[in-house]
Amino acid sequence: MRAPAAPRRVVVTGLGVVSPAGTGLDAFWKGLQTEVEPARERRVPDFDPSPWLSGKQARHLDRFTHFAVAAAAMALEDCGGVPEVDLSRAGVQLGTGIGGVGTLETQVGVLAARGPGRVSPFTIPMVMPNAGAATVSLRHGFRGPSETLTTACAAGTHSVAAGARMVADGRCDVVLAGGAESSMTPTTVAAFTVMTALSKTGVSQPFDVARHGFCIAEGAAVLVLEEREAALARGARVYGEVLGAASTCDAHHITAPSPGGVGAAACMRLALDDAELGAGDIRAVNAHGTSTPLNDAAEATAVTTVFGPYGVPVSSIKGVTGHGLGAAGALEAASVLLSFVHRELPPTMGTTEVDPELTVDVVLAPRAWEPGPTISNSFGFGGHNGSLVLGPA
Amino acid sequence: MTTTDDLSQQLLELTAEQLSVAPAQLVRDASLAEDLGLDSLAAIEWGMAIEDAFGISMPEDAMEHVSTYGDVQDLVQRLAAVPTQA
Repeated sequence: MRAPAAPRRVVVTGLGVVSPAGTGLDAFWKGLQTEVEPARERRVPDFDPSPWLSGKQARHLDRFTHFAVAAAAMALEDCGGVPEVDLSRAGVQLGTGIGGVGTLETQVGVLAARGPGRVSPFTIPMVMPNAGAATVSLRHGFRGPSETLTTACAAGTHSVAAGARMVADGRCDVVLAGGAESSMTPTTVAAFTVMTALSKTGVSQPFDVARHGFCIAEGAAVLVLEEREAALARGARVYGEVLGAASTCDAHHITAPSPGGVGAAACMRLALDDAELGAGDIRAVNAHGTSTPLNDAAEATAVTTVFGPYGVPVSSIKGVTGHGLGAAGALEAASVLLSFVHRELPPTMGTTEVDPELTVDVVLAPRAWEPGPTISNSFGFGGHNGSLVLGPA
Repeated sequence: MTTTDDLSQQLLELTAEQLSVAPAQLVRDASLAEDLGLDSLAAIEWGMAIEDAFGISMPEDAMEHVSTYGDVQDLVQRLAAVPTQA
């Protein structure tokens, strides 16, 4: 296999968001600053797929794919329609943590109640984790790579990174990249509950001294990634640039982060190397910040290791969005790009008293800033770490 | 007693809903694939709904041997074995 002669620069020219904090960019950004009622399960309120899918199409797709289709369509609309490229060089990288488990759970009920002959013939294509990517490609006629990474809660970040790599390497000229998740079922909620991962109070409070679990959520975000020169030549509005990315594994424990956040720190450093930046160049961290005792401690330690104590402002939007699992990293990348536009760092809602053990500058109220290179982290069960470095246009 | 007209009407309503098509499209020579947009998975799902609605059991490959809406009407008629209207 050959390495590209000269990696190309990758910019973000469109964004689409479906989230409990708001659907559409204005609602989402406003939602990130708005206090929410405690809720252990955070669903996208009143989501209606009908602007994008007929009733029959919607019936044959899982809700996570509805979100994927909606976010991708909104992202393309945001960038002014499908860029005029050879569609065999247009790709999709759409991650998910679990895929269509809601459909699977429904069909398990059908099997028990009515027997194997009544299980829907659409079950497999609805459940498969790549259904979102496949449906988005099918819809827009994108005939380049269409892939799904499933690295649990790091899938969104890894997918944006993988999509950007396809553009940088010259394989694709445009890529729809992001994540989609809708996997809150009675069984998955029970499973997260018995492993004591979820908040008992329904408050998501990243880095707070009282944090004790995450609020499970759903949603999707899709970024339109394009080669920089072509995007500029057609006068595209540019939200920012994907400067670098990295992926590592803790190889420590199937769910617990490595002590001292060493895996996370290694990942952030590799991402900085990839971006050809030093720690001192980074102006903000968009944290994974789930509100679990272990994640936030490990991540704060890792951030301190890389950037020094209180070295860089840290926001987690999960106080509002909850934890969108495989969508989280994509939603957070979108929030970073919007923080460039609005020249403001989003607050870590839900958090009132930062854990004094954690030596990080947690952004508790919206903070005006001069946009600069920002690192966005995601960490998934399995020990998967992903870091993305985004810079303003 | 169920008559062929009842059966036709019930099949028409069920099919319009299952395939998301207008009842007016459901004429005897409507092509399942071309006119009604039926693919192999949707055909299986439709077959299940027909079995449930009419309490019949179709041979496993039954939906592979029909190409028009009229073929399906005849198939259901035969399997349901309802008496023809006097």
